[in-house]
Amino acid sequence: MRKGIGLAITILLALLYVTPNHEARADEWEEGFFKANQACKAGDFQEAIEGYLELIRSGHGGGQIYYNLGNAYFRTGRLGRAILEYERAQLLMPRDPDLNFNLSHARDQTRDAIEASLGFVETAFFWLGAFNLNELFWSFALLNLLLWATLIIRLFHKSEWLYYILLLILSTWFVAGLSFGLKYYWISSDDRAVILQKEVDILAGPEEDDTILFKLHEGTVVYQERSEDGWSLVRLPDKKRGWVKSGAVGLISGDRAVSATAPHSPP
Amino acid sequence: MKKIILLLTFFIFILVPIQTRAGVSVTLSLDRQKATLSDSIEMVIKVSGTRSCDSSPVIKGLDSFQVSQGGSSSRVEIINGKFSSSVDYRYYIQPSRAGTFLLGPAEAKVKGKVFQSNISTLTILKAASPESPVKGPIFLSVALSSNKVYVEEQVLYTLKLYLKTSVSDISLQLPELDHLAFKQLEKPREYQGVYNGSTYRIIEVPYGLMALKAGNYGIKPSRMSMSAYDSRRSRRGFFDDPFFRAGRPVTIASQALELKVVPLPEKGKPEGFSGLVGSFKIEATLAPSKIRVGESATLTVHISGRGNVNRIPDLKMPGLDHIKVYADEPVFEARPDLKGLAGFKTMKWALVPEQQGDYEIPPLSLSFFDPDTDEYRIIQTPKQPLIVLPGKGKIIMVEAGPGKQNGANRSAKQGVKELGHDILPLHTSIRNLVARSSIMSGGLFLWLTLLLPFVLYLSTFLGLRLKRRSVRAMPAHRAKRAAKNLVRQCRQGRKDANSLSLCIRDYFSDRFGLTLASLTPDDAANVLASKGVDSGTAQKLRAILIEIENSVYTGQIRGVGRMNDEIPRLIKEIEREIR
Repeated sequence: MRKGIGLAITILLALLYVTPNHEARADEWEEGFFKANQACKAGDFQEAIEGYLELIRSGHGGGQIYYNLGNAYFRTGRLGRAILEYERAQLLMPRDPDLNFNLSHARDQTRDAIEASLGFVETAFFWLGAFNLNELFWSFALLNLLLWATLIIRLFHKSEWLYYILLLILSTWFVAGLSFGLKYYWISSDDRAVILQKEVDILAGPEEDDTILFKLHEGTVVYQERSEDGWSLVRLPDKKRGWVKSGAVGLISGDRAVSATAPHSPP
Repeated sequence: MKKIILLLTFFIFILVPIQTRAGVSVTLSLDRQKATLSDSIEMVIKVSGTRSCDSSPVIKGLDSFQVSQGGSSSRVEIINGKFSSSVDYRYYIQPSRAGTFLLGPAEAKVKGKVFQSNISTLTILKAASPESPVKGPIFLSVALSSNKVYVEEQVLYTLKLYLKTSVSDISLQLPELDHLAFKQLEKPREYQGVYNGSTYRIIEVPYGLMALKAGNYGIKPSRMSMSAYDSRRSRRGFFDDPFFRAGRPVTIASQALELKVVPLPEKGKPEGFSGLVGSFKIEATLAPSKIRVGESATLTVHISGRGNVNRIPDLKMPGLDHIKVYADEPVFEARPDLKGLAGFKTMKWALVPEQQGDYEIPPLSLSFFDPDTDEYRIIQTPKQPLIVLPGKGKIIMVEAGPGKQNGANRSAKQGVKELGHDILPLHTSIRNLVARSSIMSGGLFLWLTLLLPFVLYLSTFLGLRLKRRSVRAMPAHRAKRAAKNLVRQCRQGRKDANSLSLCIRDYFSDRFGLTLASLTPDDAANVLASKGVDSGTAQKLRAILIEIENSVYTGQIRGVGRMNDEIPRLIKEIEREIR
C-alpha cells in the first residue's frame, strides 16, 4: 500500500514538473511561427526566413514551416532555395494542394529542361509519393496490431472466417510493411539536391580550372553522388555527370538543421 | 512410206554429224550497217556445218554496246539430196555512244576446235531529228511544253511510245538529273495516230517537270525496255498471241532535250514571298455575318490554282480588337492532271466577338509569281463586315479542332482563362507544428510500438502452453506428493479411525490416479498388487485397513493411535517397492 502511494506521488510530481515546461516551450514555438508569418505578410521576408529557420533549428520540422520558408524564399527571388524547401515540405505533407501548386509553379520557372523518369519500383509502388513516412509507419503499426490481435484471438477461438480475416490482414500487413520499408530506404538514401545559384558551371573535376562540361541553372534538381573537399559530384537523370561547388547545391533530405543554418549566399 | 521415214532419220542422225565435221563456218551479220543511238540492232552469229556448239560464241568489239540475248535456233536442211545444218545465235545490241565500230570476229567452239567469223562494220549516228522519217516499228519520242521556264515553274514532259508491233513487259527509265523533279501526272493512255504517213499505236505518259535551281539542263534520253514480237512472221491463229511466242528484248531511247531554267526576278518581289509560282486565286466567306456577343462566326479562305501548290502558305490572321480568333487546321489537296499540278488550300478561323459593334475583318493577301505575265502578283480577299449584336447571356464555346467548325451553332462552357501566375499563401495553422519525427532516427518508442503486439502474442502463447503442460503434469505431481501428504497428516496429530480411513483413501486416489468413493481392504490390496507391491506388504495394509474398519464400526475410533506410526512406515515401504 505504501509503495502504491509513493508511486502515485512520484508520477504526479513528474507531471507537475514536465507539463508546464512543455507547454511553455510549445507557446514559444507557436509565437515564433506566428511572428515569422506576420513578418512574411508584412513583406519582411528576410526576418520571416530567420524566424522559420530558428524554428527548424529548435527541432520543429512540420511541413508547413518548410512550405512557408519556401514561400519566403520565393518572394525574395531565391528560386533554388524555394524549390529546396518546397521539396523538403513535400516529404512531410505530400498531398498538400497548396504546396504542390507552389512547387509546380516554381519548377515552371526553372530554365533547365530535365525530364525525370520513374523506375520500376516507383511505378509499381506509385502510392508511396502520396504518403509521408509517419503515415506509412502508423498504417503499418495499426495493421501490425491487428495482425497479432487476430493471432491472439485464434489461440482461443479457431474458425474459418477468422482464418480468412487473418489472410486479408496478413497480405495488407505485408504491403504496408514493404511500403514503409521502401519509403524509409528512399528517404534515408535520397541524394536529390537543388541548384541554389542562378547559374553554375559543372566541371570535369573538382578543380577551378577543370573543363566546363555544361551549365545548370537555379532550381534544377540533380543527384549528388558524393562530396569531397568542398565539391560535390552531381548527376542528371540523363546520366550527365560533373563536379560543382558544394555551396551551390542543397541536399533535399540531408541534415536539415545543418542545411538550415548554413550561410545563405545572396542570389 | 515407213522405209522413207526411217531412211531420212538415218541420214539426219547418222550422216549429218559426219557432214558437219567436214565444213564448219561462222558468220556474223547485222540487220543494218547504220543506226542511231536510240536504235536496237539485231546481230546474228550463224555457225554452219553443225547442229550445236560447245558453248555460246564469244564476240569481240561490243564494248560500247548493251547486249541482250535473243536466243538460239538450229536448222537442218536437205535440198536436192544435199544435207546442211546450222545454229543461229541472235543478239540485240544497243549503242551507248556514236561512232563507227568494228564488230567481230565471233569465235565459236565446235568439238573443241575454235572457228572465227568475219568482222562487220556498224556506224552509229547521233539521235535522229524528230522530223527524220527514218523510224522503225518501235520508237520513243519526248517533248517539253516549253524550253524556257522559271525556277519551280511546271513544264510538261510528255513521253510517246510509237508501236507497229506487239510488245509486252514495258519498263521506263527516266533521266536522272540534279535539281530536276519528275512527277507522273496521269496514267498512260493509248490511242491510234499517224506518223510520217504510217499508222501507229501510241502510248502517251505525261510527266510534270520542275526545276528547283536555275541553269541550262541537258535532259538525257529516256529509255524503255520491252519484249517485241515480229509482226512480219506468219500468223498462227490463236497461237499468235505473245503469250505463246518468245519476244525479242528491245531497248529504245528517246531524243535528248534542252531546258533553260531562269531564276525568278528580284524586281518587284513582295515581302515575305513564299516561292509560289503559277496561277492562283483566293476566295473568302464569312458566315454568319451577323452574330451576338459570345457567338462565333467562321471565316473561310480558299486558295486554289495551278503550279507549285505545295508552296501555298498558311495565311496569318492579324489580331482583331475585341474578337478572339481560333485557327483551324488548314486543309490541303493536290490534284495532278494533264495540264500539270493543281490544288487548293482551305483555311478557317472561328471569330468570337467580346463586344457588340460593327467590325470589319481585314483582307488577307497572297503573293505569287505568274510566269504567263512574267511578274509578281498579289491577290487578296475582300473586307468582310461583321455585325455583332448584344449577347443574350449565352456563351458559345469555340472548338478549334479539325472538323469542329460549326461552333456558331453550338453552346458549351468556356475555358477558364488564366490572367496571372503566383504562388499560394502561407500556412498559418499550428495544428501540425510538432517536433520532427523520430522515425528516421529509429526511436525506441516506435520500435516498441511494433514489437509490443508480438510480445503480447508471445506471452499469451507461452502462457497457454504452460497451462496445458501443468494440467497434464497434475496427476504425476499429485502422485509424487501423495505419500508425503499422508505421512505429514499422520504425524501432525493423532488421527482417529475415520480420518485415517479418509487419508488412506486420498493417498490411493492421488498416488494411483483413481477416483474412489470408498476403499475396501481387498481393493487396496489388489491395487497394490497390480502396481508391483509385494503381496506381504499389501496384506499388511489390508490388515490395517480391516482394523480401522472394525474400529469405525465398533465405535472405537480413538483406539487406532498406534496406526499413526505404523501407516507412515508401511507407506514408505510401499513407495520403495513401487519404484
